[in-house]
Amino acid sequence: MNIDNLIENALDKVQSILPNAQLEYQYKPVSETHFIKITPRYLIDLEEIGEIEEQISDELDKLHPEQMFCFITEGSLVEIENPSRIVDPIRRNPYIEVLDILTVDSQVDDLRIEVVDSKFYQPDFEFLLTENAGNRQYAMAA
Amino acid sequence: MSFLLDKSKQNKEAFFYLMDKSVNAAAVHCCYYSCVQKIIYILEEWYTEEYEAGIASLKGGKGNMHKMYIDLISEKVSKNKSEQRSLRRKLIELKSARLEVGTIKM
Repeated sequence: MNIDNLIENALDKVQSILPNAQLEYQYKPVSETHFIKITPRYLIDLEEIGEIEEQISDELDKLHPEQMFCFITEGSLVEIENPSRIVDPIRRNPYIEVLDILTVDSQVDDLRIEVVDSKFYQPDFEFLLTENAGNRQYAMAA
Repeated sequence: MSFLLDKSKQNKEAFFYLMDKSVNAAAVHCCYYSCVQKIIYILEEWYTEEYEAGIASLKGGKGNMHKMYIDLISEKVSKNKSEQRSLRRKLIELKSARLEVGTIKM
C-alpha cells in the first residue's frame, strides 16, 4: 500500500461511518503531517474515528516512520488551506439524523439542542421545531 | 526544580508575555517548547526505560524525535483512550502550527 492508497482508505472509512461529515485532506510537508479535517466539530470525538486514526497511524509508521497522521476539526490550531482531497457529505434521510441527535441530548434534564454547524443540520431542525417541538423550549446555537 | 522544568516554566511565562504583545509566531514556539520540555522531564523521570528505548530506536534509522515524545506521552498520560487521542491531536496541532508562521491563530 502506498501513501495515496492509505489516505483514500482513511477517507473511505471515515465517510462510511460519518456520511454527513465533510472531509478535507492536506499533507503539510513543513511538519511532515497528514491532516484530515472533519466537519462538524463534535463528530471527531467518536470512538470509531479514534480507532481509524490509530490504524492509519500504524500503517503510516510502516511506510514513513518520520510522518504523522492526525484528524482535526473546526477551531483547531492548524488550518487546511489547500486541501488536495475534499469529500462532501452524502445526505441520508434527514429525520434519522435529527433522531440520532435527539437521543443523545435527551439524556440531559434540561433538553437543549445545540447545532454545531448550521450548514449541515439547520434546515431539518427548523422543520422539527415547527412540526414536533410541542411546548418544549429548544435553544439553537447555530 | 529540574533544569528542564525550569526551562518549561520560563517558556510558558514567555508565551503569555509574547501573546500579550501579539508576537504570535514567537509565542507559539515558546508554547510548544514549554510542552516539549515538560514532556521530556516526565518521560525521563517516570518512564525512563521506554524513553531510552524510544531514543535508541531512532538512532541511525528513520524517525522523528518529537513524534516519539508525542506518541509516548499520549500513551502514558491516561488509561482513557479518548484522553490519549485528545492530547496527541493537540500536541500534533501545536507542533505543526509552530512551523506555519503565516497561519497562526491566536
